Amino acid sequence: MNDILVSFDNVTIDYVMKKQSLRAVRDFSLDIEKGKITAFVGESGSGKTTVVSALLQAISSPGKLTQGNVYFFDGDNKIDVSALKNEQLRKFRWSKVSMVFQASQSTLNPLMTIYDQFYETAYYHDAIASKEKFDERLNYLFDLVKLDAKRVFKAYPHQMSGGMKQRVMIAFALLLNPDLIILDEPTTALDVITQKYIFNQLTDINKNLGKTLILLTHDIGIVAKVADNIAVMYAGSVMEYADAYTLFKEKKHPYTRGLIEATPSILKSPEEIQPIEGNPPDIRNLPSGCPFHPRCKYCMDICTEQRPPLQKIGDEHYISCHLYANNTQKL
Amino acid sequence: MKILEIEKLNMTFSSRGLNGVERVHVLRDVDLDIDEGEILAIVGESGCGKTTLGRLITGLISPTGGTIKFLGKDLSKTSNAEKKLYRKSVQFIQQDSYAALNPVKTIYQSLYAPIKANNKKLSREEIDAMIGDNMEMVGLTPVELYLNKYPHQLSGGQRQRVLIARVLSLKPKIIVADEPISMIDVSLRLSILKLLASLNQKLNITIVYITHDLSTVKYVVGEGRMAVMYLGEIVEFGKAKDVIVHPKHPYTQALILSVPIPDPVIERSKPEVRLKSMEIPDIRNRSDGCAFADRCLYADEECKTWKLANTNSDEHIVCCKNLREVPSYDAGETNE
Ligand SMILES: Nc1ncnc2c1ncn2[C@@H]1O[C@H](COP(=O)(O)OP(=O)(O)OP(=O)(O)O)[C@@H](O)[C@H]1O
Ligand SMILES: Nc1ncnc2c1ncn2[C@@H]1O[C@H](COP(=O)(O)OP(=O)(O)OP(=O)(O)O)[C@@H](O)[C@H]1O
Ligand SMILES: [Mg+2]
Ligand SMILES: [Mg+2]
Repeated sequence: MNDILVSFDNVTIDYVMKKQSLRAVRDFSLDIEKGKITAFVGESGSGKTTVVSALLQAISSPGKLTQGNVYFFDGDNKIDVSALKNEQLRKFRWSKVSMVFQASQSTLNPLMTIYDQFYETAYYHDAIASKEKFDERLNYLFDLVKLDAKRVFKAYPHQMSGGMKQRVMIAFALLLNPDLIILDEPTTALDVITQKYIFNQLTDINKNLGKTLILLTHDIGIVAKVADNIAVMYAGSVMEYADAYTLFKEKKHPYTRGLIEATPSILKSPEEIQPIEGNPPDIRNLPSGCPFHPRCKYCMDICTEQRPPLQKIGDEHYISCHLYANNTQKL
Repeated sequence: MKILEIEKLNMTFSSRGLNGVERVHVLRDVDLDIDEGEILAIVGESGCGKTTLGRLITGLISPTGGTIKFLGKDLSKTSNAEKKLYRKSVQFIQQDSYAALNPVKTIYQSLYAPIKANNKKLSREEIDAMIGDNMEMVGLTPVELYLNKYPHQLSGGQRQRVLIARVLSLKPKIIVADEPISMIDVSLRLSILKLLASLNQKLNITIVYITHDLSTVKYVVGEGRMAVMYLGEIVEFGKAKDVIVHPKHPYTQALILSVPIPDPVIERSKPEVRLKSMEIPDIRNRSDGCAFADRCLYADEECKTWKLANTNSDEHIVCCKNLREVPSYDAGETNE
């Protein structure tokens, strides 16, 4: 295995509410490879945003990390993220890990120019040596995301298209030169041409600057385009993890297979794609055993009784499915 | 037989802004004929005017220029009774199924009311039978399981089915489905698309499927046709299969090349999209000639004033002056 930057170790996150608590993430374990693009793919509510929020101590209230740890490897230094306090946490966010939140474009301040918003953030983080240095950095960042710095510096958010705003957000995430950038559905509201353009820039940022990226998305097509590694999530857990080529080729987990085969493609005829039967899980009311078993074509008795552990079935290929117990049976 | 004939359709919105009245010319000279019982897709990027065209087709708004004929009759010249019939015959399904259903009414109540309102003489048993039939048609079975549920107790896919069942009770001739799956869970999307196609086959309802997601088009329209819109105009029109695999207009080519293919081997060997600018210009700054000229690698000076040809035909139509210079493109081909 290559260098690991982040390690999720048996993470469980609950939204603790008066009436009923809700377990959004359950026994989630995964290592994030340094310098790679790792995608978390899963349907709405599968826990993508919740689990990565733990990496920034930013789980939205009333969510709590009730079990496990998240570690960040800063050189030889192993940081336990949940133990970070005030000043340490402030430094950690943005300068080690930054996040472009879902629909974050709307968090731009409508009354401030883009330049002022960058300045304010950098100032708050004590990251301004001199105005010249700061301007230089901003020019460099805007160049990276192919924005016309002269124009965008003076612009207000409403004067920019959705695609431009999203690139501003990516430049923002790079401002304090973090090792890891988390992108939560970065192109969901954007058109395909813009989407393609933005992902080209993100791949450049990954390749040329060596930044590690975590991408959260429900879009199988995007994952096929950019991800090095893929974690397939369902009901708050990892169902399968592998590199992109292996995952698409072997699609061993019945849910992975279902998801890929249900994805429309301009190259596939209607006969070649099949919806997944049944309904998405209600995490307030999960079935016993494997959370996918009510929808699974290959369901066996044990699947209704025991939750399958995440086990290794190949080189950096992990799966949570009873079909692969003892590595014998194969789909 | 033509169920809809749309000719030189124009739509200009006026709104009061800081500098007096601001006009936006959204649709420009749109020509489109739709055959009875066909399935047609309208695709294009955000803001190109798809929803506006859908609202015009369903009679929710009136055009500022041009005509729409329904079964040969010009809508602007029909009597009130005919207008009413038209509004019933042409139904609109929108993306947000949650907003479209009353949260405090059960599914049964939501389906009962429109049938009763349109068929005062029907008995309760007859209405119940109709509700049952419609629910079966949209795949909400066993029916009893759903009747007494409230919208929040259903998945997005099930709510969209309820809306389709409600629309069916009006016995429409045309259903305009505007991004019907964009708010639905990924694993449920496909079945809604297949449902739309089945309504066409079983009930011969004409379907107009509006989407920005090209990869879904084939699953609804099958052998049907597709119109590609760019900044308020139709730039390419033809059999969906042909347009998707062999797009001819430079814009359609860029669009189709950008659609991700869910296979890393194929997706990562595709050629680059080549355009002069990746930004979609504001519809207010559209040139008088070809709307795509500013971004097109094959455009010359004349393109900026060149008027679009008439798209009113059954063939594969491409509105491009320099078409001969645009290299052919095959979506199934990769770099390797
Ligand atoms: N602040 C909160 N309070 C209560 N429940 C929450 C909260 N945030 C998320 N949840 C619930 O936790 C579960 C996981 O949500 P999460 O947002 O992590 O999923 P996701 O995979 O990011 O989905 P999406 O694709 O819709 O963004 C969902 O059932 C959601 O309703
Ligand atoms: N009532 C209105 N008043 C003023 N402008 C409008 C109005 N309705 C739509 N527009 C403008 O018309 C253009 C086309 O909008 P429309 O909603 O038809 O696009 P669309 O293709 O459906 O886009 P999307 O894919 O985002 O749904 C946009 O520039 C929009 O801002
Ligand atoms: Mg999310
Ligand atoms: Mg629209």
